[in-house]
Amino acid sequence: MDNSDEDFVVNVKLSPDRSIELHVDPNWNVRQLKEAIHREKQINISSDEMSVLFQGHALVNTESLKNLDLGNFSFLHVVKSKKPRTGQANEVNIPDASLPIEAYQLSNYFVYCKTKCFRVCPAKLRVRCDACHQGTFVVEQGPNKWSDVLEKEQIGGECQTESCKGKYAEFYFKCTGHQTEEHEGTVPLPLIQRNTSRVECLGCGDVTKEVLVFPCEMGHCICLECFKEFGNVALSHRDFVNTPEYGFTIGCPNKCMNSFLDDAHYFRILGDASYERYQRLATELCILQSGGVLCPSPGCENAFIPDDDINDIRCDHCNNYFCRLCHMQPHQGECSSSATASASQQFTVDPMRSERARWDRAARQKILEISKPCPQCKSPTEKSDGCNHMTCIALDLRSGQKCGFQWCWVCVKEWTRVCQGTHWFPNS
Amino acid sequence: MAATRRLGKELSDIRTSGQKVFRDIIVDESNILQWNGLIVPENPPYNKGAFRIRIDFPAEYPFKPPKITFQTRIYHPNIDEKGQVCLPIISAENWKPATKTDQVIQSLVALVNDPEPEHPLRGELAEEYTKDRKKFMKNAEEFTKKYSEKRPSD
Repeated sequence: MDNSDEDFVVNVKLSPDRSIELHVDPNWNVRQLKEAIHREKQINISSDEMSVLFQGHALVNTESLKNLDLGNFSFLHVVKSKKPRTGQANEVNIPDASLPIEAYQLSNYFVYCKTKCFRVCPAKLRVRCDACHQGTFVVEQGPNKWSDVLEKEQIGGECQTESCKGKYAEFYFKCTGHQTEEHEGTVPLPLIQRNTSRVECLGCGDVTKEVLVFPCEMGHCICLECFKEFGNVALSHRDFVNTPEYGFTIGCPNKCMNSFLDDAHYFRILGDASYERYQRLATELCILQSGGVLCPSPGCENAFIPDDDINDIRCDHCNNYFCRLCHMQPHQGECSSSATASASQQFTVDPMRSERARWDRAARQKILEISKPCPQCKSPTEKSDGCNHMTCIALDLRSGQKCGFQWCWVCVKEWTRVCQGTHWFPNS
Repeated sequence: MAATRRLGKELSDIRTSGQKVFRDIIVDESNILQWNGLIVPENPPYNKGAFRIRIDFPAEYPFKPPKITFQTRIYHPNIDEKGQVCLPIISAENWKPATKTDQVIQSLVALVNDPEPEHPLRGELAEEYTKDRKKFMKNAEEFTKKYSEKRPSD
């Protein structure tokens, strides 16, 4: 919560199905809170016997409410101490280093809120019993690392609900951007962090409050605005790759090794339309790997699985009729492999131009004049800068990924050092 | 747009650095994606003149690399007749968004000062450079005097 001194409201759960709303003064300590709960007279526990549980541990009587991470409508759980002790004993059974101090500060965890806020929001880490899912759980020790929080049965403790024998904590994250329901959890994005070291974004160079830190050795940081742009550029240029561990994803923009994003939820940040596109591309890839085809018609790229034994295929989306093997019009006999033939179907120029070129013989002729075919996929390629070393960026309709073939512009063959040598002295 | 925010900072950093090898940078206020500037090489035979270049940044900058074109004709094995240059640091396969334009320019100036005949764009110039350095220097100097821009006096 912010530092204002205004009263706020907490939800006090007296039993799994009974809760009351209580106006509290942030200057109160926990004992005053217990007395206020007792005054409500809805519970048969004296303030001395009462344990107030929050975030996996019993609150200490002397703790001031304003030092706790209590937001408006936070849930507190009231139980009668399972093992009655005298004095304040029940309040010191939590190890000093229970939760890391960060757990008390907002904004150290982030989620993409897809229910109400539709953006990256700071999150609160909350804990409950993994058996009865009530917040009446006291942890033996706080989590120290992400795996403690994300994996099951990492942190033990004791559920304080009388009938429950729960032994393990279950952690979840709540969006702080809107008023959440009691059990409303959201997937955390651990790579998004508060930029406490004030690192410059590798895209725009600004120092922003939050950054996404790629899991590369260098820990390259990008601001969320630039991540959105980077992800959208990567979608348009088909820079996403299929990885065995993490599925369809991207890595650090600086091309670092082992820097792939491990959770598709990060791509929610790109916006709804882009996230849909991401899912479509991932599905297409999956279909292709299961023996499906991509429609070669420019701008269609519909993915579907035709019957196994048919080579002449009609796209069920745009009605394009094509050969499964060469993507040309269906034909008798073997496929022709000439570059001229496939030039009418595969384009590396922009889709609008290629759309027109399909019908415009002059434009098609022009493409043939200024371009050379990639030796691997035959896509007409235009040389746009000085380098003779070409890397094909055309979409390979068979794999759903970029062709990626490296070739020499001068000899139109795979790029090799030997090839470079022969161009050194063109007359030799 | 990342490009606008980033290029504003890069431009002011380069301008305030007061470097002599890349100077007289002209950027139209309405389009920060195109820079024009003067390369002033230190090594012979190019130290007899200065060379105007254009840097075109794509809208997706810095997630896609800039392009450099020489506006002034130059007799150089790595720069072709259209002014196109093959600079590994800005090739699609090598480009890293964290690379600053200043580093790109330093890399370009290094290439101008010390040609790399093993990666030529103009095979005949690379051959001349390797086999008959004297003749290359004479031709390049004459070419520079004829076509290049005047070097700034300071």
